[in-house]
Amino acid sequence: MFCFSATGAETRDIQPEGHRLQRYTFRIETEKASVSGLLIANENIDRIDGSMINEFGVSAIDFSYSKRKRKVKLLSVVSFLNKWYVKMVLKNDIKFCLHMLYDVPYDKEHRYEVARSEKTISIINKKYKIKYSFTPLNPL
Amino acid sequence: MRRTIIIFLFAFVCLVSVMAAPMTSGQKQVVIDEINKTSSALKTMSCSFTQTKYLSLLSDKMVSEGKMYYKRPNKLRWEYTSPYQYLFIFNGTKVYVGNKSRKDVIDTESNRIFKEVARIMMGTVTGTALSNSSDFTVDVADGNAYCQVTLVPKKKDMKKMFLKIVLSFSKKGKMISEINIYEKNNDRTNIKFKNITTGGSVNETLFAIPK
Repeated sequence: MFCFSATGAETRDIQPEGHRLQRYTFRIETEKASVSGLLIANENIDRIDGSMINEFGVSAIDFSYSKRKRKVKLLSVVSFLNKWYVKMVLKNDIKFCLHMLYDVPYDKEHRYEVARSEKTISIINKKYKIKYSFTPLNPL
Repeated sequence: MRRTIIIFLFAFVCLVSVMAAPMTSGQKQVVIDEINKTSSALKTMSCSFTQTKYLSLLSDKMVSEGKMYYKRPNKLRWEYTSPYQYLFIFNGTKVYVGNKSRKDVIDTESNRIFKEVARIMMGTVTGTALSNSSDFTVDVADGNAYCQVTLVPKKKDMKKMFLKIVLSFSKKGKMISEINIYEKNNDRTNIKFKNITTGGSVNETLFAIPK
């Protein structure tokens, strides 16, 4: 049974029963550009909904991950990323990132490199050279 | 990186919902003129702010705190202090964007779009954006305690992200007090300014571009 157990307990918020809210700082780096900000993810029994916003509070990506179908649906994407070929890569990468963030084994062969430091998890898409970094957000 | 920053800055500059009464076009122009008069007399400004991002997908909100400093004609420091630290400085033709792990300095002289961003950003915070008809369609409504100015983007890049930006100005003094940014995905960002000081001395070092 595919089961998500959330890590980064210090970032959890109390939510309605069956819901678990987590916050991370994130950074997505490519060779030419980067986006950073906050990922806020809400997990319930069926899915994980997430919003990625930059430091100024502007939405970059909204997604929903279905646990049953094991698929990511991009609900909204900032205009400069809103291209079919970018979204295709993003979907797969976000899916893999969620598996790593929620400590769920990934059952397919993949082209990612994963590194964990004390708090930060870094995931590199080796094919497209995209680096994703996530750190649980601890309020100052 | 620059392109990303540019797009997000466009987003950022595109900055309340209060009960408002309809006004005649003449009355609206009077309010705009008053705001323009205040902004043109503004030499320095400093304040703290609370930014609340309402996330429609998660029915959740993120609250950030920070400080803002402005010095005429073209210096602005926008600093997030909580829950994370992030600094943004405009100084003449230079723009600095950075945090603990990454720092970027952009020269607006060699980047036309960034020059535009700098102009709109300071224009929005100080109120001068109202007088530039090429950026926004401007509408004005009169509330009990505030004048509400709605800016609807005209340019393609901004239209892709923002539905509208609503600025609230105090009726007395015509000083900016609140900004609401409405995004296309139904998210909203509210920025409330507090402890506003104008005309005081603002230390020049606050606008120094870190090396």
